[in-house]
Amino acid sequence: MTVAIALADDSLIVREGIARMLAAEPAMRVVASCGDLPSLLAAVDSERPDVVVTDIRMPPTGTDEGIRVAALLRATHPAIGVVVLSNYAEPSYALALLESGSEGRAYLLKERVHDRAQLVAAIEAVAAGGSVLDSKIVEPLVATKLRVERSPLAALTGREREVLAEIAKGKSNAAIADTLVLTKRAVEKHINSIFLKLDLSYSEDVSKRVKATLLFLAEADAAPSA
Amino acid sequence: MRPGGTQVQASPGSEVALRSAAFARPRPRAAGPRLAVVQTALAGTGLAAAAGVIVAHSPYLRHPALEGLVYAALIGAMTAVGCVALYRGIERRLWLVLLTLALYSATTLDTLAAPRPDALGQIAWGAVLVVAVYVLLSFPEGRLPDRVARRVVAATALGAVLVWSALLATAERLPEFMPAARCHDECPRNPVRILGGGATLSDALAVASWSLTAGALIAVAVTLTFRLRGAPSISRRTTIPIVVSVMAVAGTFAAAAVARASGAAPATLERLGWFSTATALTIPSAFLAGMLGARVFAGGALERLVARLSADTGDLDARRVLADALGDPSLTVAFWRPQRSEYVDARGRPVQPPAGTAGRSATIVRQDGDPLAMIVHDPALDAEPGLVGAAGGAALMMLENARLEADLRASVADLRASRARLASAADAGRREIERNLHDGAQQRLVALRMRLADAEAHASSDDELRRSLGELGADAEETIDELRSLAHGVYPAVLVDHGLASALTSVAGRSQQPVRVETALAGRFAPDIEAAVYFCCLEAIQNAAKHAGAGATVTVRVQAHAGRVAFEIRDDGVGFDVDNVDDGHGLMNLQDRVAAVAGDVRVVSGCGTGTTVSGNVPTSI
Repeated sequence: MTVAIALADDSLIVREGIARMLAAEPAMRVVASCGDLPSLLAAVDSERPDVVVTDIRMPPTGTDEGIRVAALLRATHPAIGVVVLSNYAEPSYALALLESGSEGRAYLLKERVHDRAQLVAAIEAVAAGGSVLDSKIVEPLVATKLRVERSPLAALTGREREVLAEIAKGKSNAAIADTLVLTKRAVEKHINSIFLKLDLSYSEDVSKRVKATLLFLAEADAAPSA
Repeated sequence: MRPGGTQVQASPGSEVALRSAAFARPRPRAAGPRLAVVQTALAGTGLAAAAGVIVAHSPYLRHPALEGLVYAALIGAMTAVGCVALYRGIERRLWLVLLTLALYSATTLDTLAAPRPDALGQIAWGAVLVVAVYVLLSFPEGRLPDRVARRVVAATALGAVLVWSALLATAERLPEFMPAARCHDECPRNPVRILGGGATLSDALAVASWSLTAGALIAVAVTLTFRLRGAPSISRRTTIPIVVSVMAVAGTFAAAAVARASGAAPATLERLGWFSTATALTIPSAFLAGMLGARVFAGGALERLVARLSADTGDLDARRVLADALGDPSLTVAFWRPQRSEYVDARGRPVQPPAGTAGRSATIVRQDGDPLAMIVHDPALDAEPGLVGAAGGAALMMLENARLEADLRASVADLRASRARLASAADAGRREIERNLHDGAQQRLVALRMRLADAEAHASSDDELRRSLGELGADAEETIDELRSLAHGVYPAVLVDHGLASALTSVAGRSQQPVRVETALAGRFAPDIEAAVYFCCLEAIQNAAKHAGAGATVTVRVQAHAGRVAFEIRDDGVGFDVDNVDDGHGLMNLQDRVAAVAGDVRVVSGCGTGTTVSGNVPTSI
């Protein structure tokens, strides 16, 4: 079963590059290529794609069209997955994307796009309702959080921190076991321990815990009241 | 009485003139007061003579010659008051003066036996009532100042129309208006009668007309009394005599109405008639007394002003001094800025001259022909023309000092605005560059990277080629990273899109040292403000990275509180000697950035004790 994909980016060369790359994948089929938000929405209605791959900044306003598309589609076409490709590595963009729900949403850095395997994995993940966050967003967050005085991450073991990072990237338990070369049972134990130590609410749902973890990693501390 | 609410008078001592463009209703100065006075005097004399002659020939009067003299005297008094008012410039509407004189003279037709003139005389009485109410309520400003006054005039006019039309439509014989009711049963026939109505109806309507007169005058007196509340001191002098005389006249009409309604004897009514004519004389006298009182007040005010000016050479608040001396708490002063051709208040903020209908009057004070200041005051002060101008002239030195100060403040405000614009433009330029980098070079590199990956995949047979392409690809990725860093350094998109907290967290993430960010910000702020705080914090963080030494940690705190955004960047590093530093630490930069948005910043540091950069900016002007 092929995945129908709608592309959106205001740069023609980027769109063509992505289309050319996906053309080599038999399971992927590009059904629309749009340069701005209105034409993307029109294409979604007419072509019924399974996944939308989009930039954040596009006409008409050039601010947060990609994020808005994700929120709009959540209401009108909840089955469609959205992969946002962006130049910006700040977690606040990923959080904005996940604000309308983390199911079927992925945030990748645009430079990731040349790595066909990663792009395809993200597309397939969101088509199935999962979530993916680029490691280049997650790992710096973990490192920063760790460096801080009295960091809550200090309570975790090194292995647990690795598992945490993988959770934030959106991997399922099985995928984490694969990546870190552990057994599924070991992964589950680590996860329990992590969520206990960090006092996070645990959710079986992979995409929900992505959001919770990202929020935890990205939160700025509150300033003491004046 | 004068038109518009805004005047400027020529006065002895200091030259004042009107900036006609700024004020409503330009007056035709063609005639000049002297011509108007001559015209009034001539007309008035003629009308007084005519009135006297008419009354002297009335068949209904006991002492026609005497009454003729009284009427002539009354009209003469009114003429005199009109001439004084026109000459002094208190009243400018010649037409109103002449109309009042003519109407009042026309009322004497009421004493004749011929039906048609008699009817005209009756109508004249109705008109005189309305015009009198209008004149009373619009002195000395020359227009009805508020809704209450307009309503009183409208009600009087409506009442007059109703009562007099009813009278003229139904009465068989026209009674005399003045309470003397001298014609009794031999009153002239009504030539315009359309409906039938008995003597009782005519009687009742006559009583109604007197009651209306009394009521209208009482309403005038009450309105004028209420107007005194919150009015400048000079108003008491101009208004109180009028209130007293109006009440006296109202009283006589009320008494006459009561007397006639309760069927008093004609002799009583005749005596009341004499009383009301006598009290009518008090009205022009009251106007004169008001004008005199204003004159006296003006003398006192200028005396007070000069005494104050010569006694105190310290810091004088120009507005306060003038307001106190002139007894007008609502008085304000604005100063002329020649560079911008505008008036500014004491704080340097621009001020518009009052529009014609705003109930404010403005007097411009000049020095050597150039505007110096504009005094905006209650129009009541114009009852003594030239008073405000004279006050301004006496206070020239004080006003000049105040003007210089206001000018200085305005210049500072201008500079600050200019600086803010420059900073804003610079930031906008940087955002533009970031955008161009994003849309241009960054996209191209991404596309390039993709094509390299593509080529690498297609070169599966040639190991050498694949390795080269792989290396090129890695180089491209590094370039993409660097370019992203550069774009972020020029202007971080995350600041525009998500605000201070996210942007500062991003800086912390990229920093080599541990940087802790704590924020308490409820929302976003204007882009200029966020940029100023962000770049200031960035500079401080970078300084800490350069100079605090290894192992130092940096804490950044930003919070919004009471209309200000406060920020603090503290490090526990080696510190430096604040007084002895060359500007490699970028302190000037910090100060410039923050000053452009009217904030402030200070740096506290000591050798070995770390450094704290703290400051705040207001979130609104």
